[in-house]
Amino acid sequence: MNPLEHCAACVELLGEYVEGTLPPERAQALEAHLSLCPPCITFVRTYKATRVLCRHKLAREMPPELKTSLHAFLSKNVPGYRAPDDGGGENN
Amino acid sequence: MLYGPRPFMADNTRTAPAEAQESQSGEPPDVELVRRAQQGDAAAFAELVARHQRQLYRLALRMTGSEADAQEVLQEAFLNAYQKLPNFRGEAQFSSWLYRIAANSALMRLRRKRRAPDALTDQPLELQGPKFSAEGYLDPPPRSDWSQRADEKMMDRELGTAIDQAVTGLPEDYRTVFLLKDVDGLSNEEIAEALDLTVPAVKSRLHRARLALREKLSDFFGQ
Repeated sequence: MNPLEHCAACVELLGEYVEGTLPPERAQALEAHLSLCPPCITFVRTYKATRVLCRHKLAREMPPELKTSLHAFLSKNVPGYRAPDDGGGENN
Repeated sequence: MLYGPRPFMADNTRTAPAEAQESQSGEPPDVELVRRAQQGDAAAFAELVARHQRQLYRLALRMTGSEADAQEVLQEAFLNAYQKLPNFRGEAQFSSWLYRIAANSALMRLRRKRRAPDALTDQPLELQGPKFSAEGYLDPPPRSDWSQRADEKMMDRELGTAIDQAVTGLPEDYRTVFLLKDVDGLSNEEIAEALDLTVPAVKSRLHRARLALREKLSDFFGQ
């Protein structure tokens, strides 16, 4: 597998690479470039760390009082609606 | 009475036939709950609400930027979904259909407030990203691997402030895509459906937002 020739091409593919959606042959070419390019290794690590740090700092949970008000609203406006027990089955 | 599916039964009576598929967790899949809700099963609709309320809240919050607006959007979206449920034919995933309803509600609210008339249109934007030499090499190359220090800085209040400022500084349509994907965990397809974008457009905005934020965090870590 021939490595990607330039860092710019490597950076361009990073989005799909870190999500694992890059086609295998492109991922291999990118990894071949990384094996020869320490600056790009650092770049990839800090790109990944950016996502982790932002997720950690910015993640928000739905406030319990908002759930309560939502279910009260739906109970009032949707015939027969009754809030299920909280917690189970929610998507993250 | 509001229009919508026929009146719900007031208890948790299951109307699902035995052929209903179940998800790996043993919970009935959305398609089954939707079918039951369309037949008037109140518990099934309530379960759909419970299942999707957190993600819908995040979408509403990210699009409006306001807790109070997110609450209004959430209520409106679930009520609209209930009213439109008889017309849902299952061509799209229920979650995508629901996100689209919520996104429309958020956009209408924003437009009424004249805050984001162009929020989701394509705009020529200059986002700061890495620089390259004429030969295509990183120039300047990253000087240090600050990812090694990310864990120990996780609780750092200054880092939190830096991240807030960096994300706030992104153009709105890039910021929304980034938050929905990397912070809230929606799929590219769900974001595309909600924001009326193509999946490649979502990927492109996401990547450019990440690159811009990486630059800002590199500045914070002293590079």
